[in-house]
Amino acid sequence: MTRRTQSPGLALITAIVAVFMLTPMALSTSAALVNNYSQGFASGLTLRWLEQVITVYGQTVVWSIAIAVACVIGNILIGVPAAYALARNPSRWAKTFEEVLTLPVAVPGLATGLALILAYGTLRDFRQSYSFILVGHMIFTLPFLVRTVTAAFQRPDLVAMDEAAKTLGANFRQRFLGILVPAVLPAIAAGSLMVFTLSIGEFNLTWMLHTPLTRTLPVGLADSYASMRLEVGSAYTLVFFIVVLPMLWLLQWCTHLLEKKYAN
Amino acid sequence: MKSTHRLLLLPVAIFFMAFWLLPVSRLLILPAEQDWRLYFVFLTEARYAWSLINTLGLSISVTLVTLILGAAVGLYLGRQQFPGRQLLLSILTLPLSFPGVIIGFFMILLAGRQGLVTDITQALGLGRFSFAYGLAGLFLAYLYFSLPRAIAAYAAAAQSMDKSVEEAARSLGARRWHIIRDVWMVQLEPTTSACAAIVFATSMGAFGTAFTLSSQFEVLPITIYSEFTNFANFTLAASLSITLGLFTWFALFLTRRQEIVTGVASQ
Amino acid sequence: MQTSAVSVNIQAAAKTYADGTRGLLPTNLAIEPAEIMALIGPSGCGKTTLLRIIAGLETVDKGGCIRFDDRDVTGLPVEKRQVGMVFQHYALFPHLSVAANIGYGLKVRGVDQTRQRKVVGDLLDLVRLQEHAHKRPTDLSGGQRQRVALARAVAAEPKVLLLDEPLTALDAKLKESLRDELGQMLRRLSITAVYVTHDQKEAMAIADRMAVMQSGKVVQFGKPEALYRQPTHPFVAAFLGRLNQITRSPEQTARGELSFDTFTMPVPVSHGSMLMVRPEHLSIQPPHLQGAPGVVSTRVFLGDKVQLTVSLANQTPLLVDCHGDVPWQVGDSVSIVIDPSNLLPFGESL
Repeated sequence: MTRRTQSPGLALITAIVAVFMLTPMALSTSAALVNNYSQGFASGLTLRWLEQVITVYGQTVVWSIAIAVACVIGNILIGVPAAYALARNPSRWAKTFEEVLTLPVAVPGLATGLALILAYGTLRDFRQSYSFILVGHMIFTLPFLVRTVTAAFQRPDLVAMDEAAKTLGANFRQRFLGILVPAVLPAIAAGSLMVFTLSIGEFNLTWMLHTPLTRTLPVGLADSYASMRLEVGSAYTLVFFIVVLPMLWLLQWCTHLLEKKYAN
Repeated sequence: MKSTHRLLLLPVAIFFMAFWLLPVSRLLILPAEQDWRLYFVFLTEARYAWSLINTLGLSISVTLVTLILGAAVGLYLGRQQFPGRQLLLSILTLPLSFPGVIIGFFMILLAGRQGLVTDITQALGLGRFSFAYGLAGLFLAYLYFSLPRAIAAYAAAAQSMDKSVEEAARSLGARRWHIIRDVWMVQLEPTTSACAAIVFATSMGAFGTAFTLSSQFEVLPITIYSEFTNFANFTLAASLSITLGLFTWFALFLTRRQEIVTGVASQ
Repeated sequence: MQTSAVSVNIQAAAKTYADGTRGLLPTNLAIEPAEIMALIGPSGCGKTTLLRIIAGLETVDKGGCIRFDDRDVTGLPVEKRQVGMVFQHYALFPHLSVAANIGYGLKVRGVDQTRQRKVVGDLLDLVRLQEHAHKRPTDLSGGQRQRVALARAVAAEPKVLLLDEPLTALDAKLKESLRDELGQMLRRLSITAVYVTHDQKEAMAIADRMAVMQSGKVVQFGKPEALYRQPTHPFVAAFLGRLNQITRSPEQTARGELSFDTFTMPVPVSHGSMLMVRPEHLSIQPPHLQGAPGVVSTRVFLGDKVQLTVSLANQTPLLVDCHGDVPWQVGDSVSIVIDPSNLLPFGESL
């Protein structure tokens, strides 16, 4: 692309939208660090809101990350083999299966939460553990991983590699673990990134499933917005930014690296 | 299907059946266990009908505005080159990872009782105008979490647009408006359909944002939630969830049909 | 790489797909040990289907039988058939090095490390890629990847080597030099090979025998030169080279001659009314000498040869291949000489 025509109208719209999007982020960051929001910077900078957040809500951050990681691992374990089976069987049946897997995304998280409570609410140990939330997250994020990896397995060069390995005498286990999975690693990474992002930020479903002892970061945020000072809410939001965003960027960067390495 | 493949699908099938298919089926028939007319409670009770209409109206308008603004910004950033462009794009798509509650909070910061805009209007002598808790605040909040998706989609699409078609049109004398209508909109059609579908579906099912704002404008997810928590009315919550799900699914179905009709492959 | 070569015997092999299309009609083919058999034809003719059936990547319809020597392999899955296959786009494993790719078949069979290293080393020498042993396939050129694919396919001493359009993905110049190299390598390995291509020149250069296929069946097979000079079917004649078509009236046919305006020549009745002759079998002389009179209408200079199109009265224009140094230009009047023994004897048109 060489020369660009100037679009002052679009530039203006972009500027307005950018201001709209960026202002609240700046506001919440500054609100987290001042002594008193209504007085603004005049009241001086402080870290005490952050300290308060870590004391009261520190656990939620740890658990959110743990659930997100467990979600990724769990979905990879059950999803990648399924993606291969779906890719090798382009029948109507398989397409329906994939569509059905995607239903939890179309159905509001509330409904899924209700359904899970209805079905398992009476199993106290399960209901009151973090596994209950993990299961909900896995159901909701699974289709993203499966879709991405199925598409990768269907690529013609992967089909050819599969056949080449077959002609060389490899059995299924050798082919799947030694050739196919390494070849779709970029897709698994991209899908995992989506799963991680969705799990960390998931609220609709988790709010239904949580108990006071099993709270995730978004659930804690909602609690702080409702019951705490503006400054504390802002500090908690800042903690979210500081902890979660770099993690996402790191994962994104790893995915990008993998894609470059395997570019054919 | 080969037996190995069947084995590979087994874990997913069991997991999905146990933790979604069977529970949701149970939920689906719950209203019927009491009275099948409960399925139509969204028509029969004014409160629920209005909640549904509110949600539909909000989602549709948010989708339309998001598409227009998102396309404008996405295309601009996708086609222009200037220092900091990539950074701006990354920051604008950041909210994709935010839970809805944060965005509700942002609105409170902007236009709540102590909000920035509220302070500005006071300083301008217009009185304290805080709109976060009404329709305007909700609309802006929904816009806030929808725009990043549209911007990301259109920016990506802008970069993979076929420049040769546009250059051919320009060499034939097409003006700016012709290019937008005959080249861009045609090439961006799949992006637009996919984007509209996902923005609409997200808006319909959004809960956290309205929850944080304790909005006066009642949307269906909130109604469902209050039926469940305040009145322990599982059955009613189930019926309304089905309604919400069906409307969302139907809208997505329409956009997919539209893609098939126009011969455009959905991604 | 010295194992005694096997023969491949295919009987009544057919393939019908799930949607009902017949990719291959019942076909019989016998391939001699250490022979290079080319399967050639236009796309959709079934050559790749047949190759994949021999490999075991497609199941053959009931009643078909594939034998390697005396062993019936029809029921064996591809992993057990011990075939080596070179794919059109090479299908190299991107995360393994060149050496690891080549040794993959040995590793999978549990061959011990020392022997693996030796075999891989020998093959790297054979395909001249010793310095690239530790590189990834993405770092290699197309021609180099092709050689890795070949080495990988032969490393585990397969009984039959199958090549699916191995040169198609390369550019023209590279194709020609690699073609000859590939042919030499195949002969040196002295292994039974089946080679699929749509390029007749490639097939004729490499193969010991070829099978020309059309619409799911073998139309003719035999040595390349025999197929070229004595095609038994117009399709084979047209596919293997360019062809001129000359029509003669029933009266001329009955009289056993062919007339062009002022010039008549004897052509047996048995040749029928539709005659075919290749452009390189026509020669051009100055107009005053004996021959069919015509005018040069186009001239295409191709370096080593010149292709002339000559218009004649009451006939479709004839293509004539001449040596690059002939003096004929567009508009010249010329005489065309046809040797009746070069006419291809088909009675009907294509």
